[in-house]
Amino acid sequence: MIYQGEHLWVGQLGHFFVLLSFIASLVATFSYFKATQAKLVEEHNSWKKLARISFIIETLSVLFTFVLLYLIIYNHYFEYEYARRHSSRSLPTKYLLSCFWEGQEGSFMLWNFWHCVLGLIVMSTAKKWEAPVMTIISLAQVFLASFVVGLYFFDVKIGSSPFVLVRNENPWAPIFQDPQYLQKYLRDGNGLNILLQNYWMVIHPPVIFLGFASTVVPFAFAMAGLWKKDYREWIKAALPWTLFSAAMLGVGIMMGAAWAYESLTFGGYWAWDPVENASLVPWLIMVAGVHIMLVNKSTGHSSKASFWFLFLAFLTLVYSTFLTRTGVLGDTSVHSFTGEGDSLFWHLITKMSLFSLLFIFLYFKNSKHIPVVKKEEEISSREFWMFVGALVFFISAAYITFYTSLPIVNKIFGTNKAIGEDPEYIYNRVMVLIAVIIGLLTAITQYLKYKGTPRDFWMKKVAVPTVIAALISLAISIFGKISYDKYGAGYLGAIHLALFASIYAVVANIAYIWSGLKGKLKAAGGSVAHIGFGLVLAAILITSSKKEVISINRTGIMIPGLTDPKGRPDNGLENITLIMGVPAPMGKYTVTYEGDTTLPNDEKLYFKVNYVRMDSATQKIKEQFTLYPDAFLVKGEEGRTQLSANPDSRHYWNKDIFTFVTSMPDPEAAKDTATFKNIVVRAGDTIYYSKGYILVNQIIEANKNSNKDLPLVDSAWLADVSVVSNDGMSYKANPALFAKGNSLIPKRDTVISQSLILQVDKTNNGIALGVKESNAVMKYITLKAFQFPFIGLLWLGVIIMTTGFFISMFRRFSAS
Amino acid sequence: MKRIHIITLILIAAAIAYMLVTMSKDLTTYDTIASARQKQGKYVHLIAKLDRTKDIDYNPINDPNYLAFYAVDSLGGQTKVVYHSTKPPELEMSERIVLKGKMNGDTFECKEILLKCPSKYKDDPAQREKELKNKMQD
Repeated sequence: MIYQGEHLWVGQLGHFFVLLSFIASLVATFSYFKATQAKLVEEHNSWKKLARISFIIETLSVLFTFVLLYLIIYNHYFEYEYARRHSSRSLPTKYLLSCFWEGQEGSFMLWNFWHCVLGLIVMSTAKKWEAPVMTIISLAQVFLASFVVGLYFFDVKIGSSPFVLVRNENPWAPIFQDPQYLQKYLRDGNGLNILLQNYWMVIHPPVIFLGFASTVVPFAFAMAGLWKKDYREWIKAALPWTLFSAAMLGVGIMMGAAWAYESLTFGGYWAWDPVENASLVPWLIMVAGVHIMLVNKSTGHSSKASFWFLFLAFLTLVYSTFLTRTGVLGDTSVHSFTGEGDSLFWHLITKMSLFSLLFIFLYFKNSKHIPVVKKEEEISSREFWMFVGALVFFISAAYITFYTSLPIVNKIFGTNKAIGEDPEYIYNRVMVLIAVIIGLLTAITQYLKYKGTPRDFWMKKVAVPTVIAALISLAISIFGKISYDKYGAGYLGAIHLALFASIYAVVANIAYIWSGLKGKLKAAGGSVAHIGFGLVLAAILITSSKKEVISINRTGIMIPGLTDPKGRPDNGLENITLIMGVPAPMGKYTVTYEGDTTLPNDEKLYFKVNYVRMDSATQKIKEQFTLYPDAFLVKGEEGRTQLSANPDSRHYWNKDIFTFVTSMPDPEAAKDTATFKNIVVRAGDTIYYSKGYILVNQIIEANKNSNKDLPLVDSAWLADVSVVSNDGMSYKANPALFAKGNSLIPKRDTVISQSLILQVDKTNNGIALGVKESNAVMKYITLKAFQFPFIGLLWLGVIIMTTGFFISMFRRFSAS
Repeated sequence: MKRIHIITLILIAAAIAYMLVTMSKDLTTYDTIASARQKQGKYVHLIAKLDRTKDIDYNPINDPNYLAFYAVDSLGGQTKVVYHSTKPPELEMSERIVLKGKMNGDTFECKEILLKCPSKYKDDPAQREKELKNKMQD
């Protein structure tokens, strides 16, 4: 059968380049391997030339596949599974890129792309390290390329191609009996997951995948060091890459956090969800790796640990993909992906095993020759405490990994364990102690010298920042009202201690730039990153312990028997119902749901929620603002409408008021059966309704010839009426009718408290006022509101920390 | 052995010891409705389905923080579930629900609901097939 309107050339080219990239990466790996092993210079050079050409071909192929897939999405070629599954015609162009990485294939291509870019940079800068390092990078590239080849070897499917046609994937479907299936049945795609229709989702994936891709480079240098038996020199070349990787992973993770904060409704930026944990662990290990490498570079200590940390950072990163992409997390995560399942499962197991075996083989073959410093580290030395810090990071990573991997543990041991009642506390109570130790180490270690520090020197230098930090944190502890006692005094104490430690880290590192480095900012990358890190810690502690639910329901309903983990009654009633037009007290505010609006070219419904804070003595308005939390209304099965809400926040320098809608009446179900009664009216007429009367003040007629203020419509009729109810209340209403071309657009007006809907209609006898009395007008929403103090500090800390990483990176890069 | 090695061992041993001690408290189990009934008041995870033959009780105007519905599991167990928060919008379309909470008499006091919905899993092959089949009828 010949199908009409398909664009098969795009997919055929795509398949070709996907295959070419796979083969080119194999050739590059082999040639770089031969180049590394070559004894003669000519031999080395000729293999290296071939390898470079292959790697460049690989890069170009990846670029072409990228462009071709984007063509498919951009032009809405719905004969392709990828476009059909991830985009739709109505999607704004800015989100088409999000479609690209919504799917598994597209996100692997993104990873692949960064991998190639990083490979090219290593190729042109690594000099003598190029051949061995690029062998490892190319080998990782083979795996990345194979994730999207979609080939069958006998019965085993390798990877999954983004260029498959819907009809080849589902040949049984009846629609393919029709040569015009594309015009008749596949006119539109499924669209992008609404949670991803957010600007963070356009930029967060490229950044986090750059972070993911970058973890291979330091690892490849470590492997190269073992391979070339050059056990120390590699550190210098690898250090900027390790810093880069830590920076990008960190930024990527925190962009994900910002996305969660702005568009998800769990009320925060971090939820210890497996997907978050999986990307945090490689970051922790990578940062530990940076410090171990610095120790090794400066003192020769920790020579063996450097290899292990970089290996583990790479391994945990692949493992994180394994956890989040293969569906093994099953019931534990809100956003675990299913999908390729089995095929990807074994694919990633193979990748992890192969690289682990290679590393272990090379490491133990060489371990006897790795130089070890016989002398012990002095307790007063910088390297001693840096190592302890790295170890603490490692332990925290191991702890997080264990609880995140419970489903895997269950699979292996046949158990059915799940994380208990309060998962956040299980993580937090350990992390708060980690924060105390790490904060203190970050503060004092900079003042120690490598190989040993005279006690007086250190005491003198560290005294001033210690006193300042103690004063600041005491002030915060005393006046900051941090009284998070849900888990008892011990935990609250730990929070205060951690707060001191993180402020100490900030103050001590600021002081160090001044006293230790004499203000040389170029050399201060480490201190700057530490300041940022300290701020992040402090912000996490403050926002989490002072986060306050302000939508506490005070309707007096107590639920007997509901207690929190410590056995106290739980006041977990965090939703409040707002009836449209009826002000309700909420915390310090009086809140009114004033209605909802839509915007052109935007599928979302915006709820207008007005916050007013009055001075209780003078009754003057002290603060007033309107928030627009919004929601997608998705048509579901059986004609039901489901709500997918996004929060809105009011930002202050010291806090955010964070609001989102948790439910609303189903607009379908609330459709009412009452009809409009149309009565022809003139100005001055009176119409009666069940609870009072309506006075027609005037009828205004306008068209665009007579009135220039009507740019959008041709003509308009407006009724200015007063509704007077039997209890003496009077309300203004202004229903209208617009005409544009041949169509009439009514603009209805409602008087909520009277359950009255008014409209204007045009009849042969003149302008009519339509009156509908309805019992379905009562619109309401339930919402949750939080107050987040000092959330801005968190983002500021992240920016400073990243800046620090980059300052260091550039310095190390020009030094290497 | 060097001091740094001793410290490493002590820290790792302490971490493992800490986890072993706290684990029994921190971990819970996946249960069926029947086995959860046996463990009155113990925090468990139930894997169940919404019982569509019974009504869902949720009236936000009276109380936005009270939701009650019935759940059934694959072994034929049935229980009333009470959840003190708003109704998750996708509840009616969920295929599977993970309920975290405690059995209290005959009702399951739920603290957290995780829904598995077909709409979330566009990548689910079964869902894709169903959708293509329906295309002809559009």
